[in-house]
Amino acid sequence: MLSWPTWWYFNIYDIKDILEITLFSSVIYYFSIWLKQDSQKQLLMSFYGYCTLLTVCQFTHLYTAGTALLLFAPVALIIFVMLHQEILQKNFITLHNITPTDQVEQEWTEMLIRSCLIAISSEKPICCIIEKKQSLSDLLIAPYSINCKLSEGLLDLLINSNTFEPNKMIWLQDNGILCAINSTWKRNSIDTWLAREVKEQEPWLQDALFFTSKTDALCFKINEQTRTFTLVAQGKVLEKVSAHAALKTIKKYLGHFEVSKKGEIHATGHKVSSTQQSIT
Amino acid sequence: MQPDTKSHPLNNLSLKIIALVFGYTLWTTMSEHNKVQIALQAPLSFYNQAGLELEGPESVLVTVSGGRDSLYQLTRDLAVHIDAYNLHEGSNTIALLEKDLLLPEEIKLVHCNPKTITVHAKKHA
Repeated sequence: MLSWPTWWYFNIYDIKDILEITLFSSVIYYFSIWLKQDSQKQLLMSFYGYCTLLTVCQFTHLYTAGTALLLFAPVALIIFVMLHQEILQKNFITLHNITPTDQVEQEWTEMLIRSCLIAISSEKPICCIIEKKQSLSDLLIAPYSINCKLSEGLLDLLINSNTFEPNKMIWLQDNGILCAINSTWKRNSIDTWLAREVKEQEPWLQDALFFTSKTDALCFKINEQTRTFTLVAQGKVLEKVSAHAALKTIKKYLGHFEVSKKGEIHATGHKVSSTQQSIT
Repeated sequence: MQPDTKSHPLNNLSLKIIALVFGYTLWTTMSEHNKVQIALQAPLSFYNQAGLELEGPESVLVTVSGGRDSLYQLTRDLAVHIDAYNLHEGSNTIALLEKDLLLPEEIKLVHCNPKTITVHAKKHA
């Protein structure tokens, strides 16, 4: 039994009450941390909004509304998870140290840059988007889904095909999977988010700046005249980069220097911030 | 490797505070109708003691059980109310009963320590 009556003002009469509160708080804390990883949508704010509503009902003695909210809570949690299923699931999976069944081929970045340089020789400006941890499937429209590993000659074949549209994007994943060609961004009310100075940029750069600031994706395009790369990540631009430097930056951003070690994910996270300094 | 600062107790402090507030609210909401048992010192209060000077214990240890929301109000107001009308001069042994505590219906007396008290009464000079 507690000897300080101060606790009684908080309705806490026993050490078991403290244990229960700690349990509830821990569950909410770890769930919040989990939701915070989703930078695309304000899932954490929605969760806090729901909790605030519950708190207001409790302290204003709105018992019916409070009970209704409490009963609806499991449904609300499932709705949260389902709305962002893909992103959350992806984040959840990467929290575990999963050994891939086959070795990820890291030379795909070299293949990609090589194919881009070949394409620019044929006066085909190439724009690529590389998906990292956060899924882009909700943000991109891809009429030609491919979903296979990038291999020697595959990209050249696709670029030279009649269906390829140079003004659209090639969509890849950080493990070298070629998701689609001719991809475009879903433009839902982006204009309202863009700052005036950003609006003066080229349309592809505007979109890249917006979407890379909302996700961890990396976007790049080759300049036909200078044959240099423009890289965009974390809402920042790195212009007039040589092919060699671009390859190095992409590899560094994707964290390809450290593979299959315990704690890889966090180490990669650090690499992102160090790259961030170079993307100005 | 995960940086050392990641496990620091002050990391994500705002999230921790928010989680504590919401955790407490959730717990309060879910536990308000739970029955709990508490022990507290209840002061002795005599009425109808005109002309008598009383000497006895200041308080007794009372264990009560009831709903958490009901006990919240009770902890501030609980006292043992004893009618001093029938007390005579000298030593008086009084048995403490549930009705002396004037408890609300939803709260029950579990235990009272001591069960009886001895009060010395003398007339005012």
